[in-house]
Amino acid sequence: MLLGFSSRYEKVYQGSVLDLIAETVKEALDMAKLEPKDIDGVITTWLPWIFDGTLAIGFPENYISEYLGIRPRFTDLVQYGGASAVEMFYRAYKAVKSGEADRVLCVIGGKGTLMKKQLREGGLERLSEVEVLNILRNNPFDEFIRVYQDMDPISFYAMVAARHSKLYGTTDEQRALLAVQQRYNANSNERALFRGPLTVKDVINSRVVSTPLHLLEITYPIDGVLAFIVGKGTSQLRSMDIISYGDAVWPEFFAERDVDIVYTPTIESAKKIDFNLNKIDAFEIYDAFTIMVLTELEDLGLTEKGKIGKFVEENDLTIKGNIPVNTGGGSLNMGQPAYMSGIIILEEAFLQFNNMAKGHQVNGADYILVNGLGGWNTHATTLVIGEKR
Amino acid sequence: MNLNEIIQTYYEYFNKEKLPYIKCTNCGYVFYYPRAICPKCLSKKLSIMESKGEGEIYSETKFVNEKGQVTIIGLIRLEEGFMIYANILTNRLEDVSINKKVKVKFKEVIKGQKFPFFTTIS
Repeated sequence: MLLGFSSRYEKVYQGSVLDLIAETVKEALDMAKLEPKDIDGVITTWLPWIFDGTLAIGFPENYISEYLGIRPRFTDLVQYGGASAVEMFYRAYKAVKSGEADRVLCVIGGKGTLMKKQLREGGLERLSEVEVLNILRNNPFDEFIRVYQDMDPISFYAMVAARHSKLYGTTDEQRALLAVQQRYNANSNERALFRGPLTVKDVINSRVVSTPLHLLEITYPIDGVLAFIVGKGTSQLRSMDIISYGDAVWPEFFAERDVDIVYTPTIESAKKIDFNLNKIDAFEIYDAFTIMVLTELEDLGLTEKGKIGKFVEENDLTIKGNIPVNTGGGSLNMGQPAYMSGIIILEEAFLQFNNMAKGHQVNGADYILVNGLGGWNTHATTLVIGEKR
Repeated sequence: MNLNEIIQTYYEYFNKEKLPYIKCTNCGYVFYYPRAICPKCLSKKLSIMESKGEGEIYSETKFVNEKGQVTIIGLIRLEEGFMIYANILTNRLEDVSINKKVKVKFKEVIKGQKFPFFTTIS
């Protein structure tokens, strides 16, 4: 089902995002031995700023199809935040299975660094705060939320971490250990942007950005695009299927949630997974913050809620360990393309499954669990990928 | 009342230093963020109530803002059962932690319009 894929990641990309899109799509098509005319489905995602700093685009699917000369008969627009790429892969798979399209091109990513540049260095100063608020609303209650000073979305995950520590005694050192284990994997991955030795002490000694989260527990926004093609037929890639799938959407603003904020919607998406987790060879877990990975692993059922701190101490989550997690180093070390997308974890699953993870390959990666998590813990998509026999 | 009328009433409550919330008279659900219908039963039979303004910290995080000041943002669970995301104002950072009691304090942040904040109870 996966016919081709390609990605580009840069700390800051100077050209147009259309250059990144065109290059990655061309490479993905080359791998699949296809041309633009062979593509009959397009799925993309869109966030403010990611297409060359544009605040709004009316028809993102057309925007990409137009530029590349693609004539789709099926399109979809997926906005699942950090779960977007994973959800797109599932929807493309489903569209091909149902016959809505034969070969679906998925394009995800952009220039997230432009958001930071425009918000912090001006460019939006011609607009009043109220005008920006009305252009970019996140929920119906923004005027009662954005009046307060915060570091959204870091503030939310910092509050999750604070509460996890209060309820279960999870320590800064235990969260730091997760970051250290992921860095170990990154050190074997030549594409990781952040490499070098890292100790628990280094993480703890890095600046506290928002209590209790330290700088080295937070992913860094970068520019980047992933293009992949899902379709009928064979390619040089290994035959890949989605063995099991679950998703969950929690639209509530986090102050109105019935469940404790230490839970993520993964607790629901994981319930739909019909696969023995002991048979998973690698876990690719969305990691904008250390606390996200820890709460996702709990909600997947690898350990009970509240026991992840001990779990991280007692298990080896590196590529040489018993439970390999974020085998390429994750977004914490690769960077976060387009500030939320889930590209890194999905591509790492493609690489592992195809024995293409140079230097950080897990032996016999036949079953890979990918868990996307997005928004403010509002969207989760869980997939087990493998080969149906 | 339609949504804009409810929002206007909220702003008037704030300027009188009163903390509003909404109770559904059909199903009894209480909520803070303004809606013209109950999100549990879609009833339009809603009453705007006045909260005592007292509650406890559900979670919080401290950071340094652009001006170099330590700022606290948190989730406050009010005694009436709803939760508000707001800044906590205090000179005693050590008093701010999960489960600590806080009370509402109003502050003008937009010209002519006050908003609810929270402060520690000593």
